[in-house]
Amino acid sequence: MNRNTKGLTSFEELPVVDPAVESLLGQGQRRQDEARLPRTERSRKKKERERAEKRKPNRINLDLPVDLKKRLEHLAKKEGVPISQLVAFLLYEPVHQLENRAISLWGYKIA
Amino acid sequence: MHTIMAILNQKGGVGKTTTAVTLASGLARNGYHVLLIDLDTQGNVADSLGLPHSDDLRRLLSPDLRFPLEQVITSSGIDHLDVIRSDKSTTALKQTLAGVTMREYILADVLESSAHDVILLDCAPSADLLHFAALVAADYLLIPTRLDKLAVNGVRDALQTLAALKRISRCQVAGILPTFYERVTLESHEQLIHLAQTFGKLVLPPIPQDTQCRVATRYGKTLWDYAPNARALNGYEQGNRRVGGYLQVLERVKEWL
Repeated sequence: MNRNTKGLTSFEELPVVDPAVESLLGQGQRRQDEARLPRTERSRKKKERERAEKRKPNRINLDLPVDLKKRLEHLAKKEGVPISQLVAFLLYEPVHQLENRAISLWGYKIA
Repeated sequence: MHTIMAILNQKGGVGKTTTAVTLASGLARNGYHVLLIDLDTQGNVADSLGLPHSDDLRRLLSPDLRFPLEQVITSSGIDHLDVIRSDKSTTALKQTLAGVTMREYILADVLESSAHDVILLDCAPSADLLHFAALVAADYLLIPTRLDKLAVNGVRDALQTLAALKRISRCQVAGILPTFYERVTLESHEQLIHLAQTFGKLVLPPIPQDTQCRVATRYGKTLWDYAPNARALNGYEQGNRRVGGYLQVLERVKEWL
């Protein structure tokens, strides 16, 4: 196959495909794109990926009230820090207080 | 009422038997009563299940023998999975059948009385008489293909054969199954794009290249028994989910039944 023949190998021109196929092709495309980058850029991407991989076990998904999520995003942007860092900063103190029973969830619990 | 599925590609070494055995045993583990028929003279279905070779197929189809279906069926040793084995005698069978009228219907006729839920036909890598008989008997066609140019051409050949039989076959293409997928090689990636561009939704989740498939065959065990954590079964890890592999393909196959 001619590797430069865009019509035959372009990921963007796919018809409707199985989600699993699409997902693997997306990943493959990212790999190919990365392989074409200059060496320094490639190594930066690799480090970024490794860092993201290391953070994976610490990741959690939360359901937050819409207004709180917006306020957190706004604050993170204003302070120039990632939202995870901001939330971690904000949580330390109340977590400590809750552990020491200085505060309680009374009146806040939803059955 | 049963569903018959032919697993076929005129190109050899694309993973037809591994696919047939893995899907058949997977469906059996899900409670379906499955009959797996080996139409290849190499008799690899028996090897893959740790059974001795036998001329079951010749005894079933040979005009001068014509044993009833229930007499040639062998238990695979796996609950709900029966097999009809093949061996070198299938070569002679094909020669005998060449002179029989309405030979394309021979499999459809003998399988009519089967009480199984699903019948899988593991076809030989050649466009022979049993190949045509399988396409006439089958409701669905599954085409495994390696992700290289020659094997992908085999997909085209299989589709042409099916088109040539359209007057006597009601078989529909259920899916094209990319096998031996290597996510780090450019060739695999480009051939998968090529397949997806040509066949769209017919392309099933790819099966990762995995040496466990060969090892399981050597020990005469299915992948589910020998290596339940194998990548070929469970696919690649992507975030918190798995992508590709026979487990995902099995879910697609169950939708057709």
